[in-house]
Amino acid sequence: MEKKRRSGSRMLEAMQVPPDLARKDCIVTLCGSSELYIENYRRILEYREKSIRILTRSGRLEVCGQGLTVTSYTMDEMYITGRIEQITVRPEGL
Amino acid sequence: MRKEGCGLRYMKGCVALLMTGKEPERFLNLCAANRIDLWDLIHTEDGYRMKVSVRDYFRLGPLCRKTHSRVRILEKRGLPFLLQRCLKRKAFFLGFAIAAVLLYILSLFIWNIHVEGNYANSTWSVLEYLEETGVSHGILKSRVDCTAIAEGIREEFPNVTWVSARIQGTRLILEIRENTDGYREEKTPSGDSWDLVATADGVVASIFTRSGVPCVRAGDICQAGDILVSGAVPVNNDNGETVRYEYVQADADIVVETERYYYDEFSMTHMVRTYSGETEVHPFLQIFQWRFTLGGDEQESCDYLVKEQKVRLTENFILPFSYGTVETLPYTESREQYSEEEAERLAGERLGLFCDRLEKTGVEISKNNVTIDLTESSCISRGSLTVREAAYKQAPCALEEEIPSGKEESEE
Repeated sequence: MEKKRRSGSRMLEAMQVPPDLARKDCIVTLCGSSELYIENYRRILEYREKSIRILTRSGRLEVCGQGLTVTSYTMDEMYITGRIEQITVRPEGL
Repeated sequence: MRKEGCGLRYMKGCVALLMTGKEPERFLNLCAANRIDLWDLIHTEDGYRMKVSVRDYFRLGPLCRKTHSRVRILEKRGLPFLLQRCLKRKAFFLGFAIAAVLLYILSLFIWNIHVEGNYANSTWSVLEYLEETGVSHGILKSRVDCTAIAEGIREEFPNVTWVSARIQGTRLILEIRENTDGYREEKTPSGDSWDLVATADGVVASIFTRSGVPCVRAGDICQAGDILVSGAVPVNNDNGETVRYEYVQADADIVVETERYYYDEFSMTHMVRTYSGETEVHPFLQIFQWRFTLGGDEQESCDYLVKEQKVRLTENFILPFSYGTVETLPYTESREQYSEEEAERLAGERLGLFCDRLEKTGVEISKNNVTIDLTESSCISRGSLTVREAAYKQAPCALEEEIPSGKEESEE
């Protein structure tokens, strides 16, 4: 199964399909230190005022800061505002 | 990023919620999975505050049951809620409807007449003419005939070369082009030919004839009514006898030296006002001819300085209301006598003003024979001014007697 997935992924890479489409990788866009766009995530694991933990297909994403607000939240994308101090990416299995 | 605008959200209506429960993240993920849009999600000590559309709010029930969460409405926002509140206030809708009807009715009238491009003819003279023809502020738009207005203005104002009249909204816009070189068609007497006749007694200083037969020479004395240049040009036969007359439009530059008598008298005593300097300012409101002043009594020895501001509905549409201030300047009057020098200076100034006014009419003053006499009670300036002016006018040609043809033959 894993082999099949890898070969499919290689084929898509060979076809020069962008990784976010090929592997559904998470896209994180940071604007300054107050705005953050997250696309292709799976779900919210934990949401507190000072931290938001998000599960993505390739692992976990942890956003730390002050006064974090989810200004917009849909199934595909999330827009976080507030004072963002740290973004941590933890790959799957770690 | 898909995100509804604030305006659209307001139109659809939204609610601010406070969500509490043991599994808030699960609730949020379920919302996302069910495509329930949430925004302004904040974690507070009470719970999670968020906003959701009205339609999605009614879909939250099963999710709350599944996650054992509780949702409480904090605030209702948007047009649906506003309308719901307003439905109870029938007067509001009635007022809205009345306002709409009034707006429509008011849009049927002309509320502003704008005149542009006019320099020689003032806006007020144009507006006055329009009022005479029945076009004024507040007239129905359907009654305004722009073509007739343009034609009328061209006829009324001779120096207007081009007029455009159009209605834009509730404005009547008049664009005017005037003859900028100052040429004005002179009024000429009826008929094809005319003489030039003197309008005052005097001596002809110079005459230069372009058309017609000069009847006087430089140095001749003329009286008012005398023909200076005749428009009847005699046509002579070979014997030098006048056979008939050709009538032309007499044209000449004639300067006539005339006498203008001057008399001016003023009293040697005059009243002098001494202002105390204690001024008072009172606001007022005027409706039609009734003026309501706030404070201040009428005083006898007092000047009033009124600063009035008229209320305008539009640029040239002045309402019969005005407001402003009345400044009272109290004074005391005392009788004083002019000294001889002062009286002579004042008499000289008055004569100077008279001469200036004369010169503005195109008259050249060549000699001044005015003397100033001072008596105890008055100062009298009298005498004459010799002026050089174009003292002539056009008058219909005096027809000469017809010379019977063949007279000589019958005598023979």
